Amino acid sequence: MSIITLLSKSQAPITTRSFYAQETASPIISSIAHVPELLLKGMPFIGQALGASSVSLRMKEMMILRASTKLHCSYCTNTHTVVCIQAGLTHNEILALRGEKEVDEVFTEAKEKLLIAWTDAMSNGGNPISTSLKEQMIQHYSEAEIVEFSLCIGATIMLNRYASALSLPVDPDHLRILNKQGFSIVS
Amino acid sequence: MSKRLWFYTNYHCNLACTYCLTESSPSVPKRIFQPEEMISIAKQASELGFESIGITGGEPFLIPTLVDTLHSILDILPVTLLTNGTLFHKKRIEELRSLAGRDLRMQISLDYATPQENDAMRARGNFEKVIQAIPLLLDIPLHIRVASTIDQHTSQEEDALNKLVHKLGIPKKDHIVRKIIHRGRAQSQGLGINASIEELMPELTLTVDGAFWSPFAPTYKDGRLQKDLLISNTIQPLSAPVDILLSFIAQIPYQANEHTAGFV
Repeated sequence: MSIITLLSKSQAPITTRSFYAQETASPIISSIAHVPELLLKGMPFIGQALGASSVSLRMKEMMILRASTKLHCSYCTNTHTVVCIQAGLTHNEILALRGEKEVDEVFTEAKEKLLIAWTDAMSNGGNPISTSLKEQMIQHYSEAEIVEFSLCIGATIMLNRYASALSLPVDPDHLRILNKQGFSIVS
Repeated sequence: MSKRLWFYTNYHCNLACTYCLTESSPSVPKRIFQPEEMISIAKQASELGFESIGITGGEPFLIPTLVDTLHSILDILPVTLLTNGTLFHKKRIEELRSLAGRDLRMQISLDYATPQENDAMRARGNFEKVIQAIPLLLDIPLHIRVASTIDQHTSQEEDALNKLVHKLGIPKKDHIVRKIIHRGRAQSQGLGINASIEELMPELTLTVDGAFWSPFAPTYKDGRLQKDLLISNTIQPLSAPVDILLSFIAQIPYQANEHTAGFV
């Protein structure tokens, strides 16, 4: 149960209603709507950082689900498991990103494994990222890609902490999808 | 967008009117807008092109330093001040003499021509206090207006009120009649008309809770702030809520009607 009121469209400040496709919106939107100026500026950033861009949705969702798992954010892990399904990741890939299978057993592409390692390193609290890992990233990815990856992971971690702190609830439809697709619900 | 900027000085009031938008009463949290901050924002308002300031509450005259604050704001922009007109004791009248000649309009609430009808919506003794105060204020002299907020007037009640206001020395142009808006306590009491965003004139309004669409917007119901007409929690710099409001207004086809055009 969220510790703050999740505003419906009719309760939400007028300037935020364009973010509501229906009477309800995601808990992220309907909570930040309490501070319209934050939603107005924050959501475009979040959308750009986490949504498809020059980096594919598949890669973005890999990072988001992995970081959310590492940060033990039940809201983001459950929600983005569903988004990963929609983005076309396989059942085993999702399980590996959720730490329920070994990454090396499931992912075969070196670049994707490197991205997961980068996500793990960034999600590992304040611990420094090794020079060798940084060098590998520079070898395999462009500077623009590294910036996008790092901001995607950073924004995910921010939202992980936000969602966990506020106890944001998972959409019941998402829970049904998780059950139907044979994924456990992270609590 | 109106070129008047509104402040809610406070939310507490010596009255508890049945149609109050903000559920004001003597017992609610005061939620006082700090005078220094009001003055600072008034300066910003002037620089941004606002042409006047509106002040309402709660009852602004419950703020002991109100007259000093008024002087400071009047040094910057003209002011319209809304009051219930019940706190004009002799000492306050003397204090108000310093405001003579300044660009101030004081708007006093008076809803019906008899104490029975008027006080039923407001408070016992309200009618007498108001009709005693108005001549004293006009005598200072101050520019006094009367605002009548009504649910429904019969033509007889309307005639009687117009005659009374005229008798008090208020010209017709300074008598505003407006409908109760179905928000706040009025909503709880089943009073008033619904007003959509398209019908409420955008007049940026600042309270301790944030910046709102109009002075009809920062309402409280069942002790909770209604956020549907909140523009931003940030009020300073003033350009922040102004920018948000201006960019939003472009999307809204404002269509005022005679009852919702404004507070004054």
